[in-house]
Amino acid sequence: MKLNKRLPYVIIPVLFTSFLITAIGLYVLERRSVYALTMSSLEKEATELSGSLIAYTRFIDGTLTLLLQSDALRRYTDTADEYLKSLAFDAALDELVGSIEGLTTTHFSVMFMQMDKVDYYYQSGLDPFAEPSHIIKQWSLEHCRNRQPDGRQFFTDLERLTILRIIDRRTLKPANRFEAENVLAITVSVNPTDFIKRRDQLIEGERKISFSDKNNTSTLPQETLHSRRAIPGFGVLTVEVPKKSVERELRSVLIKLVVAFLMLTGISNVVLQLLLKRYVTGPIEHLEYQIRNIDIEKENALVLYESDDEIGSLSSSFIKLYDQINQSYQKTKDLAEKDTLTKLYNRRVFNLTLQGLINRAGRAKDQMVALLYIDIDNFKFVNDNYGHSIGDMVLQAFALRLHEVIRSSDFVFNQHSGMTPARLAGDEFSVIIYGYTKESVPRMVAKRMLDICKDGFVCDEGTFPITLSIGVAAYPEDGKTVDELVVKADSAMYQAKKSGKNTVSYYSAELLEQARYQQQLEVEIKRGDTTEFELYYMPIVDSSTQKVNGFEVLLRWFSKKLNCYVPPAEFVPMAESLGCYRPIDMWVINEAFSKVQELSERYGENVHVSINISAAEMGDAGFVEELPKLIDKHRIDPHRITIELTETFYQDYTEKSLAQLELIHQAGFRLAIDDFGSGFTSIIQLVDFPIDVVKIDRAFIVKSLANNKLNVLRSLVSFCHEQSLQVVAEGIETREDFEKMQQAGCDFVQGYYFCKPMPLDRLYEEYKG
Amino acid sequence: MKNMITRVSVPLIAFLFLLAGQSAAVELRIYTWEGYLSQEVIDNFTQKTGISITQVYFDSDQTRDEVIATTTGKSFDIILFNSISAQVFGKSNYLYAVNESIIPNLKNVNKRWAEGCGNFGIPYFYGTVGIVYDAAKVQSPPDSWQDLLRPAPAHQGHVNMLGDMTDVLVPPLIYLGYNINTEEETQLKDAYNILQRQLPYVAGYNYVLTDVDMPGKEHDIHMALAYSGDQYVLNDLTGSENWQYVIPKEGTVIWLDCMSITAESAKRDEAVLFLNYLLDQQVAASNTEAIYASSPVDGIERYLPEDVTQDTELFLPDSLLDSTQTYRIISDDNLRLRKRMLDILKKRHEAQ
Repeated sequence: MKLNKRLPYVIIPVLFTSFLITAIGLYVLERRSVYALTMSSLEKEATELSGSLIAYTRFIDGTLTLLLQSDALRRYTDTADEYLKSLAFDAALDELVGSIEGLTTTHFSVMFMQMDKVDYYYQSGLDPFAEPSHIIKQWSLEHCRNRQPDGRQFFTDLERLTILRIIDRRTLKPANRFEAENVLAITVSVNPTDFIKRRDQLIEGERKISFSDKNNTSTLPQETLHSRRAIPGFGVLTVEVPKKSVERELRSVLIKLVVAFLMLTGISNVVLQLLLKRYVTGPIEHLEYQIRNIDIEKENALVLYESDDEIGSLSSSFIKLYDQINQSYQKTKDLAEKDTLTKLYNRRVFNLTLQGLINRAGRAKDQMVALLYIDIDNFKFVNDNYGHSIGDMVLQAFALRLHEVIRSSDFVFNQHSGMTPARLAGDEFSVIIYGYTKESVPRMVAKRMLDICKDGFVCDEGTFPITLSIGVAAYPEDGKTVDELVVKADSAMYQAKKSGKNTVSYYSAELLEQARYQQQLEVEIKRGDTTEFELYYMPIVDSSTQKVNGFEVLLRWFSKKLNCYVPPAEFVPMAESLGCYRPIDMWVINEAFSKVQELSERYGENVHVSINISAAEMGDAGFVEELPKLIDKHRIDPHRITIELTETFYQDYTEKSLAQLELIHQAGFRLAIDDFGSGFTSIIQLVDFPIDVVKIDRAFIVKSLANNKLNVLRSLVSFCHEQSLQVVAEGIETREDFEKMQQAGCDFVQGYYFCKPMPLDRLYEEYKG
Repeated sequence: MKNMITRVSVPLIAFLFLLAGQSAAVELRIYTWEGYLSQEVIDNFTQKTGISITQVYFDSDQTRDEVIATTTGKSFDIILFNSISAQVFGKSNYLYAVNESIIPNLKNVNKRWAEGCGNFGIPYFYGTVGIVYDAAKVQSPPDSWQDLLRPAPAHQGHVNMLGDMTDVLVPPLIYLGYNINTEEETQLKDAYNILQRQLPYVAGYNYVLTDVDMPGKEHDIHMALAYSGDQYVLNDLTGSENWQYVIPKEGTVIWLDCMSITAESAKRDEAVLFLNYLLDQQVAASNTEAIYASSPVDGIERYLPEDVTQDTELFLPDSLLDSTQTYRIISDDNLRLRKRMLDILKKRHEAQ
């Protein structure tokens, strides 16, 4: 489980428990104090209310006392006229009402009654038509009838506090005899406005306020809290509050506590989590995130969490550790990926990179990838002549140059494009160009690379005569897979190598065609269908007599599959390299031998037949043993057979092959050096080899004639004659050439001037010798 | 009815006092309105009899009634009442009852007024109740009680009423078409409601003369409920001719003032002498000319110049007198109720 997810499980139970205990404690305390508070406020309210009522009763008492002692009352009782009574009293009472201080009242009335008749009525306020209350009148009358001189009553329905005095109108003293005509009942009523207001306020606050005019102390039900106050002479005031309402208050307290508890728990949880996240798990998470996202392939530096706590030091320790690991990883990686000499990527990384880029380009569609194969020509020469250490230095220097070319590339590249160089083998390099959009880019890059070796490769170690052959193949036109591209770039590179030094060659359809042709050729050669072979015969003419001396047998192969004549220059080296020359050679020899008799009959007894034999045969003892058998079979004189050694023989002949040559010579065959004066032929061979004939190459002849150096040719011919070698001039096309050859002393000549090579049947028709 | 035309120089008053003190040393104390008794009449009386006259003034009927109803009222010999108060106090034995045998000149009183004061005094002046208005401030002269009771907004706070419990009810009762002496409580309630609605327009319930005369008075009175003749005093006081008196088209009431002798007066004979003197035709004429109020005494015309006798505001035509209501004695309860109505109107006015 993640630390962050674990936090709530750790925090919440602790917070919950501690806040719960606190909340319960608070509730118990609150409950106790609510009860105590309610009781004390009940007491206070009862005191306040009763005090207010008592103040009003005192005011009424005072008013009554004042009235009873006033002249106004005296005059009142003396006057008969109602209006004058009013005049006498109203002003006095108005003044009295005006002087009330500290008490407010909405009703102040004074009523004089003589038994059931209202004698005088005064009421403060703004209603001129106010009438005395019927209830109070009745109450006053009852007192008169019951002979009660004093009365006090709180008319709760009327909201009036009333005090009654019954006096004798003659003495103004409390009545004692209650004679109807002399009794004056004076009532003063007041609305205890302050009390009422306060009472109504309290009633709104769920108080129940009752007033009982009897001093009954009947017990109130248990479920109320109450307080009582006596109002002397009036009754008892009770202020109650039902326990239910206290409980309701407590419930609201409980709800508040629960809400506060939940909120506190929630908020504390959130705050604690935030703090822990900010200061503890956050940094750890950050560190963890960084570690998780480390891509060792990318150079993204770890950001150190700077803090003097454990996480800070963990972070810095980790970064140290990471740096060490990274360093050793980078070293290992370099070893694994890079060539130790040039520090370029090795073939493995090259393959991976190419694969990756192909995949990417395949997704991006409009991006191209070009693969450049670079081969250093003549590098073997450097190694052979200057030693391997210099060779290595040259390779290093070349790698650096390659880097420079790539680095200095100003082709339009974006962040998704670039070039990756690699060293594939000894002197083989490769550069992958990717992400470019202009087709000309690989060409320009290749051009710059060729420039490295334009005038020889120059470096600190000196100038070296090396050149580059560059083959280019592009994705996706030339290939869709790594292997395809590699093969095609490689073949383009070979094409470049073939077409000359320091060139670039692009893989193309012709190249493809050629490769396919080559492939088919290979197949056909391997098949070895000799029926498609045919021998052409080219006459060799005696230069002095102009009579035919012999014929050179030339193999012609019309491949039905390829639908063309395959030139010997193509299929012979291939057959040699494929190792299937033997059947071909055997067929040629057999065929040629079989016609010797015929040719003799047509063109004279001494006609020779020259056969070109693969150089490879020379190294094979079996071939040499084979020849005498064929001679016997066709009953011909080996003397009449000349074996021409092809050019390839001279390239790497050995003691052994020379020994074979000797054996053939001893068997009676004549041996000839073909194409002398071109390629790898050397004058040494004229001395060394057990030969009888020298065939001078047409190129040599043409050059000699063109430069008018016939004497060179003459010297060569006479040199050969010195060695008892007959000389044949090849490629004679005009009469002039022929005459020159005569002059030069050549023994024999051959060429189109005399006759083209042709099959035997045609030869018989066209060439009469 | 109260005129200040008489201006007596200080040396003359001093002389008269001196004279009176020497000859008789008898002094009559009269409780009355200010300027409601001709100084010339007083002087002549003093000269003739050696009895000096001292006037104490009240400025509202209610004040007077309260004063008389308490002990302090006993120090007066003669009191000016309206006809109703005279009878109220008379009934309660505050006043000395008179008749022709005691005051022979009562024979001069016109029959119409003879019973006006009952037998508790002599008829003194009578008049009407109407509206006085400042013509400079009231563009269209009022012609209905409605103009006073529901004035135009421009007059808000500039309308003055009267502090008399009966007179103040005249406009609403007459406007409503009720009898001014009505005993119907519902009719009184209607009248009271009209007055209560009028409250926002009312500047005060003091007598307009007292109000205008008060120094530094802020009230700018445009119109007022007043008594006939008040327009002259107002013009005198304000030094203008703008004040006009009008009796609204709904009609009005005729009031009558009475001079009464207190029951407890120690100078009853001298008081009788003075009241008899006042009813002398020549004296009444002189008093009328000075005060410029209508006298109930018959045959005074011959002592007055023609322009005065031709003034129908002073000598009201019989047709008007016949058709106009007069105050009658009303029940105690009714009186008390009217008094409470006025008291509460004043309280409400103070509170607004």
